[in-house]
Amino acid sequence: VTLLVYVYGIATPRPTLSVLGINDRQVRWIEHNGLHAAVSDVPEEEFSEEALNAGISDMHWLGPRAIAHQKVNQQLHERVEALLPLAFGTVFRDDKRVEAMLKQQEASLKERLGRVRGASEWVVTVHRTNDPDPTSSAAVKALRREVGQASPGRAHLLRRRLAELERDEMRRMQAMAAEDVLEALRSRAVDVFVEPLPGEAEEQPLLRASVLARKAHEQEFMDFVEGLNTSWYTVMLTGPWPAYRFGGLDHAAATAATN
Amino acid sequence: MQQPLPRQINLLGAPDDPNQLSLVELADRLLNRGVVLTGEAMISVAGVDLIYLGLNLVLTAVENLQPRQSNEPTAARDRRR
Repeated sequence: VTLLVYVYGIATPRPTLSVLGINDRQVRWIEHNGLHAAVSDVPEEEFSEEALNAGISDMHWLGPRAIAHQKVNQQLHERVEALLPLAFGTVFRDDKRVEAMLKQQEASLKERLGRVRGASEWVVTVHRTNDPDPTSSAAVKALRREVGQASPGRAHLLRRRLAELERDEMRRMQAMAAEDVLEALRSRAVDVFVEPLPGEAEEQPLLRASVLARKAHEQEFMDFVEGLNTSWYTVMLTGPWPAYRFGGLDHAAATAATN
Repeated sequence: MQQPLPRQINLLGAPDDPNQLSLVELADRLLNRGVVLTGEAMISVAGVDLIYLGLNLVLTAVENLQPRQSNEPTAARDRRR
């Protein structure tokens, strides 16, 4: 069986930790100048480019391997000062090539490790649970009064305008909700990244964002986010994640260019 | 109404644990999201945004999957409840 080298993430300093990775293989370390890549061997028949790209659309194949990937990174994240978790499916031909990568990208890797040092990533999603109430808007109030005083014919026309106005007002309130939550998150976070929203989801969230927050203030951060809930939208939080998003942000352009 | 409580990752919890992270969320974070050492790695994963594409298919498949058990005590964190 030909083996390939699967890389989970890059840590500094090296943690004293024994952990099993994909297919229960022991995770080992490849080092260059203070950068420690957590790796394990995987069979080529599962992780060749073709097999891998077929595998990721099959949840039965992907599920246990994605969980193993996350478990390795989660345990490292809890133990080391700084960790760059790699995307699922980063595979090298052999150890020498991993070492060469650490060497070639040393400066960039260290800069990125510095950025996520001591911080966790959270995913914040804002979902509408009710319609916002537009009746407190001054314009809506004024038009309502006008409808009440108008003749039947004119009132009919005005009611249509009122419905439109209320819809606009609700849209404005929804847009503001996303802005309000973002502003609140920015006040507590090291960094905030607004995620693109799904184009045609049944239930479109008002906002999806990745947030980088200090590990030392985790509980305060959770309590703070919980306090952002209102009567008509709810704020969901998952985390603490290793910094999958923020560890890779400055490479987004490079990745796009080579894809 | 959706659960308004913040949730933490708990891959090792029981399947009916409300804090159990869904595999869809996990896959969404792991694919496309992390550091991709493009050009250096010999293999890269095709861009598949699982949370938006074929969500129903994925959710059906997830029901049959359960995380492996582990002796690592700190991975099963759940400070919320």
